[in-house]
Amino acid sequence: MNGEPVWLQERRSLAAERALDLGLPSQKQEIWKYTSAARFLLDDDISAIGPVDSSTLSFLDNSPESSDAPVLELLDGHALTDSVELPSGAFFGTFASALSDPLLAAVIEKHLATLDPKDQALYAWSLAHFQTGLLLHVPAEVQLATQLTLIHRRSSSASPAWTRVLVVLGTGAAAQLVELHEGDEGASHRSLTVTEIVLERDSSLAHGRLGLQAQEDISWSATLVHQGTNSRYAGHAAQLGAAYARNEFSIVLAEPEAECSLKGIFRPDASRHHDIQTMIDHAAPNCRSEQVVKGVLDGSSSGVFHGRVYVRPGAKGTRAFQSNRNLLLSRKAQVYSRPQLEIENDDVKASHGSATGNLDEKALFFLRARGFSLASARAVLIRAFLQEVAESLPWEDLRRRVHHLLGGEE
Amino acid sequence: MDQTPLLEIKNLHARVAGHEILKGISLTIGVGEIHAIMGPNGSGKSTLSQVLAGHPAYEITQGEVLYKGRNLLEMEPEERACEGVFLAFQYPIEIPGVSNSYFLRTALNEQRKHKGLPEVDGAEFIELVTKRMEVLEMDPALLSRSLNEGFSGGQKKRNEILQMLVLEPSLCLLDETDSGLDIDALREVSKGVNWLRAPGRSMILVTHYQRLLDHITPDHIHVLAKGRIIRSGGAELALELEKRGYDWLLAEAGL
Repeated sequence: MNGEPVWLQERRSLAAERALDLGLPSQKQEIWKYTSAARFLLDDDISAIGPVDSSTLSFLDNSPESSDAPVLELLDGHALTDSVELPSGAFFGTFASALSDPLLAAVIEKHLATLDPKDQALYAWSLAHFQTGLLLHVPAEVQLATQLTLIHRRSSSASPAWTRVLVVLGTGAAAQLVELHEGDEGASHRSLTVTEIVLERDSSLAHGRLGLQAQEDISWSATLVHQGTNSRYAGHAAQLGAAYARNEFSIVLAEPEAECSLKGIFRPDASRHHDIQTMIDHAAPNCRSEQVVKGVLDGSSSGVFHGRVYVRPGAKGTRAFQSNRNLLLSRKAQVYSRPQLEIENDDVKASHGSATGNLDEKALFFLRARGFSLASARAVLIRAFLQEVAESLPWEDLRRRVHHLLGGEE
Repeated sequence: MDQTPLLEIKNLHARVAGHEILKGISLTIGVGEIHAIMGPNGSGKSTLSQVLAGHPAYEITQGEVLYKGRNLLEMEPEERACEGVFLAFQYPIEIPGVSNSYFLRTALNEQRKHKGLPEVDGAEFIELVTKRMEVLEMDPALLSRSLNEGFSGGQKKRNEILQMLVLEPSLCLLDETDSGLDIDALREVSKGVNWLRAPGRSMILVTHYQRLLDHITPDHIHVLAKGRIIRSGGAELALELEKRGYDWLLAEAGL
């Protein structure tokens, strides 16, 4: 039997049942008010997928080579490389390859889908039907200096790509993972990705998620983070491509002294729709969270920022900061900004702010009066607006790429 | 020798948000001349400089402005800048996230491109700008900071003059450059302006006070009140205004 392990088959079956029970979220649910889940998962997909059959879903059928470049590429949801060579017992590769190692198999079995919100159908669908799973596992006290890259690439327009990524960093471990979502122009691809991240005590992850999908692509990606004592998560998200995209971040600061930061950009134009949902759960004392999200919207595009911070009764000494600023470049563009703080104890320092405006006419005139064309003056001001977030990218190559995509000089 | 004036303003009327601010200004600026425009608050002095630089908020209802013989009012603000019109802003704008050096080098290169000149590279630019900063006794560290962000009032005004020194315009419009400056800053700013004085370069100094004119001697002084020029004279007019104020002129003009 070269199929999936029994525990996974069972988990998938349960998830499929739950998904059918839940149905797709309706826009009456507050977190789905401005974005339609039916764009990510069509009725046709649901009927086409049918009951779970592990023989059709098996991801053990291909045997790609391993690579020494720290890059894994998925093409239309299928891994082109099996795993990446890493030092000190660290592993970055497919579930298929990981499952042959009992230790890694145990890691997957222990953690896979444990962070999924059980009342959200897309997560259940994703567990039931993911085609490829990727594991990044860094054992205790191993600090990887190399930046690891995971490319989610789409080229054929057939069925949606369902991908699960599981990141587990042991005590004191450190890693950097960049996920790039790319698509070949000329077709519309749908992609649904869940990235689960478990950070044990004193571990640290820098995580980039760059949405550079094709113009017509539809993309749902969710990042779920669970943080142990004194762990660090630094998330960087830029949504620059895709016609319809939603990025969900849900971070649980489960143990004391954990810190997370989330810096995000969304920049829809034409009739594109970009949605960012964040949930930071302060569940333990003395944790810190920081969120800075900036949107630039042109044409008749729409954007959503719904940022929730929940501070539990026992989470004394919490520091929570959240800011969303948006720039509307056209009268038809719209943004829905909803910062939401829910605080259940007194010993908390929290702030949140939201502001939406237009390009500063005085600044535009100032630049033009020095010789900048209207177009370049606008580009300079837009870049300046996004700079705080764009420049915080810890990776030089990505920083340059984003700078260029935002219309900057080489 | 018959020389076309650099700037000819003929019966210029302008309004903003429905209010007529300029009510028939006529003024001719010859090549190389320095004119001061003085007047009480609210007389339209700043409006005149904004209109000449092309601020889109102002609507021209009558009159014309010729610059180097061309219709200035038809030109976009950036074209005016590239053709040598420079407005030193009364309230320089802060732009966080845009470095002072990137801003100034890009402005210089936009203007050079317009003139068909090769762009200056980073090293050439630093050499040029450092020399100009010395004239103004400016701290070179200001170059790498965001444009005017957190600059003191004096630093902002000096930064305007620095831009003028680097861009070397044909027509300098200084809008209340002296306001808010202490004595030392005023002296350094004036030094910069005088450094730029040249036979081919004209200037319009818009000011409320005489004190700038202690450092920069104009060829002509005009008094603007209620949107009109009510008196023109030589440099000595400033001294008389300093002694007597504006009221007697307003009374004579029946305002």
